Amino acid sequence: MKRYISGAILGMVAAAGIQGAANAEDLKPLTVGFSLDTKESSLETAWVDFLKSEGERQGKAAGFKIDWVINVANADPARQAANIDDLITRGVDIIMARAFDSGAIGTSIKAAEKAGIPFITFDRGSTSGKPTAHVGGDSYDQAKQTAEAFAAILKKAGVQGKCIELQGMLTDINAVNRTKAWNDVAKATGQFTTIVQVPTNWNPELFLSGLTNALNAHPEANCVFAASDFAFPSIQAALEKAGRWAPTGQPKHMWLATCDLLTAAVKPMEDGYIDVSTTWDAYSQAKEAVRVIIAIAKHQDPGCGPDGCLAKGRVVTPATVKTISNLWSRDYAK
Amino acid sequence: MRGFRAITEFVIRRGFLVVFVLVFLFFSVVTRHFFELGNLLNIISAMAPLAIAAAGLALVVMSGRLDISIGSIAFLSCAIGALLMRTNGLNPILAAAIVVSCGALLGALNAFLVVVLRVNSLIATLSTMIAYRGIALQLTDALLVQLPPDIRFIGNTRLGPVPVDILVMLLIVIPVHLLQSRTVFGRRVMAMGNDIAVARRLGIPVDLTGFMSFVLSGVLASLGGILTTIQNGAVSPFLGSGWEFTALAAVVVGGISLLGGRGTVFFSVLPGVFIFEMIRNGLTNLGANPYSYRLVGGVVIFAAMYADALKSRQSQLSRT
Amino acid sequence: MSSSQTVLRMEGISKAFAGVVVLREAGLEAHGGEAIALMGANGAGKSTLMNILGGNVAADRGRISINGAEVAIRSAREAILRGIAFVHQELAMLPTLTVAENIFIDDLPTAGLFISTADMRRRSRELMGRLGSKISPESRVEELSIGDRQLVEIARALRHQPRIIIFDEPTSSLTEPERQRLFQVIGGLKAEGVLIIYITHFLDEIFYICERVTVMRNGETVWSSPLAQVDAAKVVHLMLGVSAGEGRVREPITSQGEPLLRISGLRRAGALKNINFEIRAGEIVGLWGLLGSGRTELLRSLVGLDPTDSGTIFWKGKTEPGLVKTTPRQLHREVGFVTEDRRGEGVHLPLSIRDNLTLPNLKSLLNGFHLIDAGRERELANKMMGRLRVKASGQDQSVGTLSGGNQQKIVFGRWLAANPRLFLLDEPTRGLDVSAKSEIMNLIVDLANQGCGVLLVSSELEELIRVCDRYLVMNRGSLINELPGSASAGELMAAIADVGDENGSWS
Repeated sequence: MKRYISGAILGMVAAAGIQGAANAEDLKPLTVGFSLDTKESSLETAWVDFLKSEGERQGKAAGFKIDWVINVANADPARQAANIDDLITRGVDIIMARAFDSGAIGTSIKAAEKAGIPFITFDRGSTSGKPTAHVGGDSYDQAKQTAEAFAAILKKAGVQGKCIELQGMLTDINAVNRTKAWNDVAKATGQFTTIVQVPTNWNPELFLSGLTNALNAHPEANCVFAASDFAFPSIQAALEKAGRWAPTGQPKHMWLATCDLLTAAVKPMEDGYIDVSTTWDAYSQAKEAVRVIIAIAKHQDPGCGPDGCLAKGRVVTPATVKTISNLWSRDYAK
Repeated sequence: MRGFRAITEFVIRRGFLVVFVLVFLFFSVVTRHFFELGNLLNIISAMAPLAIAAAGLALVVMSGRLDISIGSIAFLSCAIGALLMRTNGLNPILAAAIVVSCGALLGALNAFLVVVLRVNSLIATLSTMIAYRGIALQLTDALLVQLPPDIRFIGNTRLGPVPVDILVMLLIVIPVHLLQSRTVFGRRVMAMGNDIAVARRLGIPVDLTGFMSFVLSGVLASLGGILTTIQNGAVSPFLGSGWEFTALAAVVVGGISLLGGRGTVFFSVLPGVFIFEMIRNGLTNLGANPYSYRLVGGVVIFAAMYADALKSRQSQLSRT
Repeated sequence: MSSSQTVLRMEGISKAFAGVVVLREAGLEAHGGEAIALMGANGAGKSTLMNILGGNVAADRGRISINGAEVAIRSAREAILRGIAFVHQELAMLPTLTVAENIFIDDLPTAGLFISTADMRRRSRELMGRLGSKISPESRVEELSIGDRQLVEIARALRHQPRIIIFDEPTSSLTEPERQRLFQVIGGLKAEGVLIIYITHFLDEIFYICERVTVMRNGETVWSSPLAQVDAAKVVHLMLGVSAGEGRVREPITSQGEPLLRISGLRRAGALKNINFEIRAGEIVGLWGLLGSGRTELLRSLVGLDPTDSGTIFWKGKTEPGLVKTTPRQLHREVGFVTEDRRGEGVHLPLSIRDNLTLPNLKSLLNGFHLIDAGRERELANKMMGRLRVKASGQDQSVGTLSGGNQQKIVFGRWLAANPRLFLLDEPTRGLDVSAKSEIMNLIVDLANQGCGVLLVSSELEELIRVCDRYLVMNRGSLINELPGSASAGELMAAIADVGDENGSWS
């Protein structure tokens, strides 16, 4: 009798073991090459971390073991193209890239297509080639939400806005979308006008000098829109220089609307210097990216809209910034 | 025809002055807010970091050599300082001292390549320009390194109406000018720039002087970097990029010949840097397409270099 | 300072560079308060001897003593400390710096951190004053004439209160008034008791300012005496070792050779008027005339460097018998053309002797694979060097380092390998020293002896007289006369002196 029981137990253990081994073998290896163009803020680090954690969670559920090959191009489109070539040569299963230059990335898309590797554009789309899928934040919607919320704030305060617009690098499709949305809302609501546009090329030094010069040339300006607040210290320095650094409610206050609400902007918003922003939600973007990756790996249609699989952001104001949930830039300090 | 000749002579000799005055008048007349004390002080404030670094470059150029790594030295040395402050909570004064020491060391490496290994200075500093920036990008992950909030206030203090950064610039550039014009070291630099072989023949310690000129250039580059970091409140991956070319252009436009041996620091570097910053500021005031800045800057650089070439061809005949 | 007692004695100085002996037991003796002329042909060793005294070069053997005490001079700095100053032909000036800075650059006076400019200015004024110059110490050297710069160089040397000053070819770039001023300065220095060593190739100068003369030849001191005991001819004789400037190299011949070149009716408005002449194989024809008579223009027109309005050139071709019409351009390819401008005439100074000699003839040195046969190249270079008697350490030596005379021989050599039958020579010995001139003259005669025809333009009558078989006299673009080789110098001078207003217009 004992022999049968121990035999049965052994058998069950063995079966469980074989089953376990079989489970382990069930996880198909999936190599994803991720080409980052630069790491200009903690946003990029957050992405990588979220991609990895989501990759493990969703991947396991779908039966994949995702291996990431990550390279960074130091803000050089030629370097990025070379990096992607490396990924192709390496034979990764899927390539995902955050383009430095939305125009230049088309070459890499074609190269991947030729090699038969699916290509996903992440965060920045492509204006020169059609990828297998695009995952990103909805930059147009983001700026639109900011602008509309801003217009409401100005209306409540009885202010007609004469704004300085700090534009991003215009080879970045997100920057293009944001300036479009901002100016579309300006026209629609009539609550503010853009009196000068300052292109900053996403260079913090140009944020500083451009805003300083603009404030000097247009002392009548009473609001500023920043297409991204990653270089917020420069914006602060320029406002301080012009004597317009004051929180809401004070007479010297400069009405300020931004996009992204990155780490550098959280405290200023808590203290009331920034009036409104819309998040660039790194977490939901990463989550969506992994979903799309897995769908493609399974040869399924990821089901993206005409502009791609986009994650929307949320509007945040000084009243809500401390309490709003899942604000990675507030909680995820480097 | 003699009148025409005289005018061209004048333009070549004082070409820079003519261009300067024309540009200044143009912007003053055509825009509303250019010709205001506040704006002019802004120009000088904005140019201060580059002016400090250009003063160091001027020394090297006057000795007959080139140093195009100044922007990268500024970036790397400041990156190290800012990182130490952030991760180790280092005292700002100590951090500044470390930044300056880094500048000196990086300059000394340049000196080693040029003076000891006898590598052409353009090639040597081109390689260090790339290497230093690469190292700095690695260290910072190409991220912004913010300064601790307590020292950020320095960027905007004023002494009366004059921003402190202008005073800092003067406090650094004037001693460098005196060094070049009134000390033995300065005269040796000029001697080298005239003719390094003759200088050696006369017993001048050419190698030591050359070495020190690169070290000084590194120190001044890092000082300029400190100033721009304070102004921006952070060390950005764009720190110093393009400095070498604007500084070189400013130095030549201001009257320091690329052949060496000619010019002064104060009266060449400051006006030279000012004219470029003035153009950028004026164009913004005009609301001009900001990419036009590069075009205008390029034209000014070309005109200055051409005038320099003409001037030195004339004096080349009298040098033999 | 009792430097009138200074006695400099250099004895038994020997030196060899890479196996080539440059000085052989050379010596020099001089006293303070006098100027001694150091004479010698190019390559005689005077510069090396002085470089040893000046500390730039170390002697292999020999001793130097000042006032009886032996001194060791191992560097330029040490030489200065011992009171020896060297004013080189190439001034060591820093043009963008001021006079005062140039004078004091190796030892600028300081007060604390800064240079004491007032002190420097005062002392510069004093030093320049000693030289009789009122140039402001604040003027930049690049604004000064060469003569003034030389004074600055001397002032710098005077700073160390030298007992001995060496002047190496100090007058080559000076104007006449500056030269006179320099002589005055030297006179003043002598009066202060300084010992002057004066190197020059201008023979007349030494009789102005020197008291003694030392002559070197082939690395040895061959003569030393008070200047009063010699005259110019003797000095030249000592420098060359042969009687120079006397006698013909070859007696005049009437050529029996075939005509090589005939010029008919050559004219160019403003330069040449109806030129007609003929040159035969084996003869040396001198083209004689004053400056501006059209001799160089004629030569240049023959080879197409200048255009012509009309005229015909007949040339003896290689294959056809008799003369055939030809163009200047074709003629250029067939004749050897040597001018005074060595550097401009296609000698590549940085290249070796061999490269220069073989360059025009590389085609003939190709082997079966159309690559240059190094062995044949060396052979050709050797042959040429022998034929031309080029003095060098080997065919690898760079032409830039040869003396002027040897460089000129290389220019000839370029042409020789192509074996032209006619040579057009325009002032081929200009700028060469006496012995080099002699050698070129010998070379020309050699060529004629081998059957070449030579048309020789020279301003130095003594030279023409030594080699020409007949003379064509030119004046104002026309050939006005022809004289036989036996004509005397007086007759030749008369031929061009006889110019009236006959050929006034340039039609």
